[in-house]
Amino acid sequence: MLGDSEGGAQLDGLGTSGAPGPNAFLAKLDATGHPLWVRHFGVGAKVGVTRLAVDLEGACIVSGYAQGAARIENLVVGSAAKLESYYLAAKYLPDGSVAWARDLAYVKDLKPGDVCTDLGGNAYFTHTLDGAAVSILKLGRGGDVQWEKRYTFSSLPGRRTFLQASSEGFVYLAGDYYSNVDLDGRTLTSRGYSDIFVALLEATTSPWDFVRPNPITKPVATMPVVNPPSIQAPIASNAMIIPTSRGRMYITK
Amino acid sequence: MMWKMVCGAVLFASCFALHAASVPAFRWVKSFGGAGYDVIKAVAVDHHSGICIVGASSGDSTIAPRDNAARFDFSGELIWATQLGTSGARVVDLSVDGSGKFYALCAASGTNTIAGLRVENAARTTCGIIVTLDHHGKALNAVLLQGGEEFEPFALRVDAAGHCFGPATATGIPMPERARRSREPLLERPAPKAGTSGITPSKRPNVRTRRLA
Repeated sequence: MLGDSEGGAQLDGLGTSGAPGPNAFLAKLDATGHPLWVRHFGVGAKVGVTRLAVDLEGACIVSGYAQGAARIENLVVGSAAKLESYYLAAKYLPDGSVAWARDLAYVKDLKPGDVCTDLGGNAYFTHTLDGAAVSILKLGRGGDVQWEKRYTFSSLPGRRTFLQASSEGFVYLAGDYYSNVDLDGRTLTSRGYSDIFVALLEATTSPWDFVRPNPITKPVATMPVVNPPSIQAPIASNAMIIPTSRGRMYITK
Repeated sequence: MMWKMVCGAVLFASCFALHAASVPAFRWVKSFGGAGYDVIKAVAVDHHSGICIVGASSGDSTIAPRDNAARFDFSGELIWATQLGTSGARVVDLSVDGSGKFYALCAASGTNTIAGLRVENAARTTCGIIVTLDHHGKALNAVLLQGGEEFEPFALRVDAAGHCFGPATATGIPMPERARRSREPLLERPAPKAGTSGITPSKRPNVRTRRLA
């Protein structure tokens, strides 16, 4: 759960005491709604949060914005010397510790972006740039930038953009726009005041790159894997397991 | 010397090609809307790797009027589109469960027909409505999230088993009471009496399929 707060947040006795002014918090609740941990997101800076995505390993990717140096647990992002607002992102592990935190871009006019994760634990972000452009960023599991792609508008950026990754590693981009938007040379023109677009980005994460949360180190036959009743064939030792919404898919090289 | 230059050029070109190949291109792009405004509210990937969206239109969108929902398959074909909101209802968010069911969260006041279901809110205050559609866009049921006073939902997430979670601002009665109410399948109740809240299926299904230009 992600939220904005003034000075901190309290959930069932668990809570944070943040600095005065705009703050943000992140909390993890169990299935019954009981908070497991609450973290203050960005001490020492004017921080807001925009979106949250959870990957298959239970790690949480948070996107937000800040002004000044922001401390996220034991990591510092941004600089007190820079007065410009910037987008930031952080990855929280299931136990509430921070794997990485980083600034993404410094811009004048911030607009909420989106974040999503794929099966490999990579994270994708959208954020507006100065002027009429939106950037799509792919960060690897460790927070390293894999690629950036931009698209432009003829006037103002649209109100919202959304990202969703498919189980095959493709990424959907959707949003609204005024007048015109240029997507790789394909110019869309709004029929009215604003229109909606949907686009599919080619996959840059091969299914072979998807990382198993628990690598196979023992003979596969001893693993507590539940096979569908109709499939009794043994799983090859070089099989790759891809979690899907319907269970697990096995691919053999 | 020439050999080194050729090798350098090949190396540079291969590095550039590798970098260029790592940035993905758009496989397909679709656009829709009407003469007024059209804004997007939320998206979700379904169990067949298609994309579901909900948005709002000033009334004459090319896929469905007013607040609407649509599903595109992996190749970008429009599978179905349906009107969700009427004058008193607006769509807020959506989510998809593991079986491909589509859950649209709406905020509404008064009596509305949402995706073919007539939803009666006799309390005359703002309430939340979760409408469940199957992967063909047919409305299955609707659940009313109602409180003593105002109830303003603003997000919805559904797990693989179809359990709904979501924050809301509310006044009147405590949130746990609302959460229990939200699990009640109101469509399975007896028909509501006059002056009470309830949901009844409309006779006219409001789902249509239209191919985009």
